[in-house]
Amino acid sequence: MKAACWNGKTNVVIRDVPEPKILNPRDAIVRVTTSAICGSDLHLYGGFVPSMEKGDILGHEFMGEVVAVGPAVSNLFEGDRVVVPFAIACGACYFCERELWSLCDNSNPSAGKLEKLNGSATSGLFGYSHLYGGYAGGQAEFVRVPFADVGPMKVPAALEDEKVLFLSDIFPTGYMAADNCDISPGDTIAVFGAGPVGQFAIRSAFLLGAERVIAIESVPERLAMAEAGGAEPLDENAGDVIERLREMTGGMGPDSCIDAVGMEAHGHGMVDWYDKVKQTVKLEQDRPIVLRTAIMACRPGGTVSIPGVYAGFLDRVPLGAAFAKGLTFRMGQTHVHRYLRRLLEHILDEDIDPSFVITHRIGMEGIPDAYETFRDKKDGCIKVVIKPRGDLA
Amino acid sequence: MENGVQVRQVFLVNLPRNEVYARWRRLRDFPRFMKYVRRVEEIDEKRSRWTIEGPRGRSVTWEAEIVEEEPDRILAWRSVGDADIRHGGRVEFFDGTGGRGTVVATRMSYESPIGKMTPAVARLFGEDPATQVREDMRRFKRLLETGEIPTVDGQPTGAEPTETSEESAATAKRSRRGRRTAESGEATP
Repeated sequence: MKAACWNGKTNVVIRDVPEPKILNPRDAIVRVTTSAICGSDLHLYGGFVPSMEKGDILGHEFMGEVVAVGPAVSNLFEGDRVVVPFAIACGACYFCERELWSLCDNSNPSAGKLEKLNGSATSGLFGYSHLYGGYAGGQAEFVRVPFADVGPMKVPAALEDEKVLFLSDIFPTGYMAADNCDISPGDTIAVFGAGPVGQFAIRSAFLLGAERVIAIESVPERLAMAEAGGAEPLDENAGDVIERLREMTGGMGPDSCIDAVGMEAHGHGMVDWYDKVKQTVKLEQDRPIVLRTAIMACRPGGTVSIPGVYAGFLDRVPLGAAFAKGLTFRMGQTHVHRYLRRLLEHILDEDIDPSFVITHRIGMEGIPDAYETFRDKKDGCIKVVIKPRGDLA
Repeated sequence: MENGVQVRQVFLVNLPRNEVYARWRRLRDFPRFMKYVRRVEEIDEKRSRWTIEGPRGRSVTWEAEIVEEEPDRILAWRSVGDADIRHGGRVEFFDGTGGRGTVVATRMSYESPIGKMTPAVARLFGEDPATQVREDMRRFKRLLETGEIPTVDGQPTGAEPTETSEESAATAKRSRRGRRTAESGEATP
């Protein structure tokens, strides 16, 4: 089969690789009908994530048709059309039982290494480095899905792929970011970054009852898309963001701030990690500034919700301001499984059509170029979907 | 101790204590989660014969007997006879607080009676015994909670089939692991 493989920094290649096999009783094999490139894939592309190995198959947003199931999978059958959460969860551990699916402590084969790095291990992820299990990802024609009796959700035939694909990651990720704000009627939510996750955070905040959403972003087409979703656009290059947020909220500040940008830096062991983070801080000044700005802008007693990926150490985060203002911080990888059915209902009820975010549709051969286009935000690129078998709609 | 190692580890298993105890009591299942234990034959209620994967594919065997058994609470065993390695293990089972299943607390020891670390002991527990035991216990927990042990061995990769000297250390390590699995003749856990 064809698969998009990581081949070093800013180097993605399409290779012929063997098709996946059932390796464990609870596995399934899914033939991918639609896949996508995620903003977090750009961290891999840029070489910021440690423990990637040449040849690793990328991709964690995918859906498709079940073509084989292991002997312990009794709720899925060949031919079932499913969307697959990017975090792999066993459904039986302490964390899964408490709906903390992305913290599953049974699904990551590299748990021992991650435990040394972070104090505890968390779940395996598709196509997201060997610290997260080294699972082959979904920018491929076929994927092996572990714990297939727990993760994949069957989707109604009436809904085309592009309407349900993003249940695999960015829709639940944006939704959890908003859910973590514990929105009350009348609340104003500031969303920093109007990339794909920011776009879904904006729409999710409204679904959860926010009165106003302010989108902070510099790319015009992303601001326009945010505005189309009901947000008030705030061009981050057009003046002091904190000051303008204050003005827009009667001097109080937003009730919650969502950092949908994150920071592009990881490392391999503490010292390397710290150095790399510092290096990246110098190179990419905007990244830590988002979290800092969110803390400074948020009203006292408010929440800073962080769906953007962070790793390692940060310099000059104003924890004193956060403490003084009594802020709440919520963060982490998305507990996708928790939101699947709720969000499918919203799609069925036509509260939202997640395909609004798509700007580019490509086949497998287009993936290497699309990484660059997406990273550089060229050609109005906000979200790329992939049709591995070339049947572009 | 100079000529051996002792390791303590604790792990939570999200199942009731009697179930966890019963699974640990099946000594014959040890090879499913203990990396270097190739076979455990239960001779009778108390005695068992162990085969351990030694260095360079050579195996080490010993007989062990259960020396302490309090169902659902404690199980301890130790090797008997004059094998090159003296091994002992003691496992205690406690209820976790607030519905956290069962705390499994193990203490394992390996020592060489001839007064020095034999290659077999070094191989078994020389490098990082605590990690070794911890990973064995993690596999035990996973097997019990999920019925399987997560793996990516055997999945497709786009890595070039011919490795060159420039290949990363990680890749080299992976290939060493692959050879060891082949030597032991076992299915990958």
